Amino acid sequence: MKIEQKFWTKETGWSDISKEKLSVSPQWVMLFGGRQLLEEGERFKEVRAMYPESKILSCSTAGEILATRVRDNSVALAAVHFDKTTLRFVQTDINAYEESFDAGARLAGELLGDGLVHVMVFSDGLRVNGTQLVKGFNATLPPNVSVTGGLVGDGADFKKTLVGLDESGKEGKIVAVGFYGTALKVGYGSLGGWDPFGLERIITKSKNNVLYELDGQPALTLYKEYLGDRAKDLPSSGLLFPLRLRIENNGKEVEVVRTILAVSEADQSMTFAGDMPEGAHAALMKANFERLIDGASGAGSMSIEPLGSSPAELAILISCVGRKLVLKERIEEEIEAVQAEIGEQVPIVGFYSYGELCPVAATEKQCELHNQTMTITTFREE
Amino acid sequence: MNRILERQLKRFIGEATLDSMPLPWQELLTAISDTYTHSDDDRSLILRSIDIASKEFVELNKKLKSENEIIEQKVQDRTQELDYERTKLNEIAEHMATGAILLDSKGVVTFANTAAKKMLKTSDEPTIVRTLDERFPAFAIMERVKQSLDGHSSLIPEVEMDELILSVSFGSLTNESRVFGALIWLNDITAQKMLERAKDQFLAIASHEMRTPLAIIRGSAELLLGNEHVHADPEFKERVEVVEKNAVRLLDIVNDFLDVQNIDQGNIPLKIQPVDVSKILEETCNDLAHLAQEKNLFLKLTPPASPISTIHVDPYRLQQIFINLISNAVHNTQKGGITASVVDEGGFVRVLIEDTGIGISTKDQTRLFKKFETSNTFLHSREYGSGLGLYISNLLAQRMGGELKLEKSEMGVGSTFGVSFPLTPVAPAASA
Repeated sequence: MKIEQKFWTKETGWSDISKEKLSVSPQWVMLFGGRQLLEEGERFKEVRAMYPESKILSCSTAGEILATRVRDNSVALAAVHFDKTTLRFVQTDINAYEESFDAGARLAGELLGDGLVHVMVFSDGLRVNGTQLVKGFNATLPPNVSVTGGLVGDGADFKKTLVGLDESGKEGKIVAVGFYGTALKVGYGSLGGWDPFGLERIITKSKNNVLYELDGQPALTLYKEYLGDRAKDLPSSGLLFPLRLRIENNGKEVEVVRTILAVSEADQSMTFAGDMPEGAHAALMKANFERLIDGASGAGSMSIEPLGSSPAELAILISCVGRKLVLKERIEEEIEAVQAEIGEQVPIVGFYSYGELCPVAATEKQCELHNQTMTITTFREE
Repeated sequence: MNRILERQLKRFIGEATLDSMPLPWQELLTAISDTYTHSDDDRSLILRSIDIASKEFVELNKKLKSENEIIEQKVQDRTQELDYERTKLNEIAEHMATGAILLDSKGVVTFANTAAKKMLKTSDEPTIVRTLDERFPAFAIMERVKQSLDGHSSLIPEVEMDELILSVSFGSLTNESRVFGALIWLNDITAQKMLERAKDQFLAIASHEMRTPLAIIRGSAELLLGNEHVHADPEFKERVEVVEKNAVRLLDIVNDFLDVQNIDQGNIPLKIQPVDVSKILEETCNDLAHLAQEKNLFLKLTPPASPISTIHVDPYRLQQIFINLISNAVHNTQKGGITASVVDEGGFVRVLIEDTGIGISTKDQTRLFKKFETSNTFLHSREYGSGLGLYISNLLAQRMGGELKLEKSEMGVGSTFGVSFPLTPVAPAASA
């Protein structure tokens, strides 16, 4: 595997951070950038010119990650050439939350084939019910194929998110990348580091991923009370208080974290990235800086476990925008913690997201939607 | 600039303004100021959320305390109500004439009322059931208690204990179909039984004493009817015929009473032998054909579809049962008729007597086979029989290993009685 990494900022233009340039054409170019930059389309044209034969994946972000730096309104680029692995790219459009399961199942179905070992999903971050999307993948893929990925972002604006395959990016698009071959080793890990606090409430009114009431009271009123002055910054300020849900799943009680995508003053509702089932127990969560950093470090540790003693050749980091809003100036500490864990030489690229997709443990294959986590996918060819 | 940073700068580097510093220092200090401010904002947000959460906990605590007080009051009220109910039930149980013994789900006695202790002559509550079991080993008392705990009730209709005659019933204590204990009722039926016995004895003596004079009256009437002088005087002949007919009816009634007495005491000898049921049923139908003809009714015998197996009963008593059933059917049918049939059901032979008569009400059906219990609609005529026919037929069938039952009945449509006997010979049953 060979990798070339660059970034673009308004001040500096394109800058290489790789020691050597690629001598072969990469199959896959990841272009993670600010939404407005992608809308302008100039950067995509430049990248297309640099890599005329490659598949270019464009994603808008809530912050770009390249090596241990986190930037806003920049472009982070990683061009990857796999020596022994075949890649296939598929895409679909989505217009409403209700289409999420079918979209996941459709993409997974198109990728099915001999040698498929892993799938990475890059989805619109505002029009998708992440829970249903991963269910669609899980229902269609064989149990030995793992899925990771994320719901792309739009800074802290939550207005529109863009995904593109060989284009600069459009709303309502999902791209999935299939990895085929026995030489590829894939690792993944996902951890949060948030602490529940205060009273646990019961979801008394909801529909799919739209929450109306907790303990019979409007959920939006509760959030506004807790946020005080910052309520005017909803929905982004709502990320400061994600919800920990205790839900029944196949007869077992599981805990999941849900984060806000949108609010509606009209019906006092809050839209979350995943299902908010009625009857589930919900507790507000608060940030603990050290535990967030520890969470990122733990995710790094989980992600390299399956690779054994040899280091990863590439790490794709997808971390929640909520962490960025909390950690602020300290945000790069979580990337540094990951780098320290996976090895100083491992190339890192990624973005801040509106939702993360990853199995709950390194030994599991069934993908789950996560929120407020650092989610890492590592690759190595043997 | 953040106020803390501003103070620190003033303290350590004097009154220098940010604008007067070199550009890299300006950028650095702006970044530090932003960090200070964000930290303050974060701290205040956390403090605010903890403050709100604390208030919520205080409110919840108040609510819980208030609800706890309400619950405690409710528990106290309910406890008083339960105490009152318990006292009331205890008083009722203690003053009941019926003996009551309660056992828990493990079969341990938890209560026995005064009547039960008095009947069983013991004051030791825990061993009262054991006492009952030891007194009557043949009735398997402990086994019945176990069955009650499994949800099955049972009855010992009559048991003599010293000067008392008791009926003992066993039941389950259930709550939403879960058995949580057993209950034994002891009913003192001494007075009732003594009365029955005195009545039976009186009837036996009276019947016995009446039979000879009645036989003489009947015989004399029959002699008179053979006399030519009587035949010469139609009015006199008619009166003698009335005497003869009623003497016969009275003799039948007296014989029924004596039969009951004998069957009750197990004094009827049965001559069990192989019997062709079809043949006896056909003979009986032929014998009673005139009864049906007198009322313009049909009495037909449906030929069996296949040969009927031989059963082992007393043929005389079997015919007595058939006569009774067909006579009753004729008596209670005003139009249509009676159909007799016999079927071999593999292991059992069943005889059915079906009529198109008045039918038997549901209420009367429960009393049909009891002694002296005749219904208002069935056997309603005082001129007809003793009311013991079904009782006797039922006892006779049981003693010969068979079973008599009302198969179906509908008011205004008719009734069907069925009597069945097993093919395998059965030893005559003891009288109940």
